[in-house]
Amino acid sequence: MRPSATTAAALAAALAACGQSTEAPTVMLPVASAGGPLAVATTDLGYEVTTTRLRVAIADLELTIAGEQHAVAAGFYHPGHHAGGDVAGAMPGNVLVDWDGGDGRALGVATLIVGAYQGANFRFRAADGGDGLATDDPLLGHTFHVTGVARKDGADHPFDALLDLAAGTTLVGAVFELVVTEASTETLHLAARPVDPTAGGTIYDGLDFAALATTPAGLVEIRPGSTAHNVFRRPIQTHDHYVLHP
Amino acid sequence: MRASSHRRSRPLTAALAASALVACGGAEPGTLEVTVYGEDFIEVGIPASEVVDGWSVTFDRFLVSIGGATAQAGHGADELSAPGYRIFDLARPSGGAGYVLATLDAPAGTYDHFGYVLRPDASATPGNARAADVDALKAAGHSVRVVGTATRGADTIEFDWGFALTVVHRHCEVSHTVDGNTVTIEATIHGDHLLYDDAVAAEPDLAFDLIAAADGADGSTPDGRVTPAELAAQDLTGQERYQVGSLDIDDLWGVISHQVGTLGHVDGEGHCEDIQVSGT
Repeated sequence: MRPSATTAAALAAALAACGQSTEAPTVMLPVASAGGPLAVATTDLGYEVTTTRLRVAIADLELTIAGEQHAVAAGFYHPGHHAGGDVAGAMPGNVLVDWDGGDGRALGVATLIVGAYQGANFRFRAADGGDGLATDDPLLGHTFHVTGVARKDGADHPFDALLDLAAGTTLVGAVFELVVTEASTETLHLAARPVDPTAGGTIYDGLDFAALATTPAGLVEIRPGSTAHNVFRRPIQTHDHYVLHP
Repeated sequence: MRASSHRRSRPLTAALAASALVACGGAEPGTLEVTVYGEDFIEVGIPASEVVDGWSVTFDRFLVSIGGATAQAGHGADELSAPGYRIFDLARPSGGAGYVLATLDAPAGTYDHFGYVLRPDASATPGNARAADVDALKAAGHSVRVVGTATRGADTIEFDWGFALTVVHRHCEVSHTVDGNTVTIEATIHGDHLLYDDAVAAEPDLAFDLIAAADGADGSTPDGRVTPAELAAQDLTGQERYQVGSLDIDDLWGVISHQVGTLGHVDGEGHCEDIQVSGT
């Protein structure tokens, strides 16, 4: 994705219009998926789950700064959860994020007005022909493709999950805490966190892998239309499990 | 306690229009009338054709404690306000006009800022609601109470749900010019949102099946009347619909309560840029 001069101009104009400045400096920072293996998750049902690959189709990354401060319940927010923040940075367009344990991959370039950022938002979508996938890629037409192995009581339960989310479903409030200045040049890494470090929940909570049907090859296939699919897609779409960091 | 917020981008054209009018000068003051209206879905009912699982819904009462109305013609102008609260039953037929919440003397200008609040208020006065309903709403500490019946074929489910939430609507999309005239700004309440089957999808459906299925979900004997306790016992974890994204909601009462924060609009389909919800 190329940087958008239109986006930069629009963001600068928006801030200037709010009276904060006659000129709103912006910077353009590269965005990439975070590299390395995903954290092993120990679920509420006692499974130790290793995620071998997690892919998700998203769009329109937004970066937010704290907006007007409102009276909110104490404890409602923790880092990154400033759902009421003002959008001051953006990377419009579709991206396919692939966390496969290897190096991170470039996703695009975000335009940010300088400021103290406190959150990130993006929209889930179904992967399509524009994502460069092979025609037989199982992710086509779906939002998530997750593979891994769940272990419990000495038994391995390899799994392959395809998850769908309703069009327009938006993730609001992923963790993104960074002071961006005119001198900023760092790459922003989008990471998936199978384990929520704040509350301890995992993306696999509620899944009883041993009770799910398997293929003749012993693979647990989680597909749309099943209860397991419905259980899985609730936690995996929450802001607790995504972070954007330098 | 739950709190949340929703924001939308603010239209620039309205602000420019307001500035232009102020710059020209010479206009006459007038009157700004604020009304509240529940549209046909509340006054007449929600037909089965609008609900994906074929239920129809009628509201016997749709009580709101509403007030805190404010309006402003551009950022620099004085803010008009009607701080008091009144209780209306939006299920009572209004002939499409809604009910008058407040009438304000308004300096000339193009009013591009508007807001109002739904909140429990012990000092609220009756709007069009019956005295017994006003007293009951205040005694319960509710800002919104809906009483009605859902019907599908021979099946009927009654409901009586009260909400203690405070919902502050600000920066609502309006552009009304006062120049010696009376203009009306309508706080529009979309009662069908209580039946939304998704808290985060862009285009949720209206549904009632899961609400009906909650009858007896808390271990009580099913009696054709679905209570908040039964809805709170209806777990959503394995449901295909009723997605909640990052919201801290895992039961059906939580989803319905969340939708109270989406009821408020302006002038029909207009939205409010900034909505703050607090309470339980």
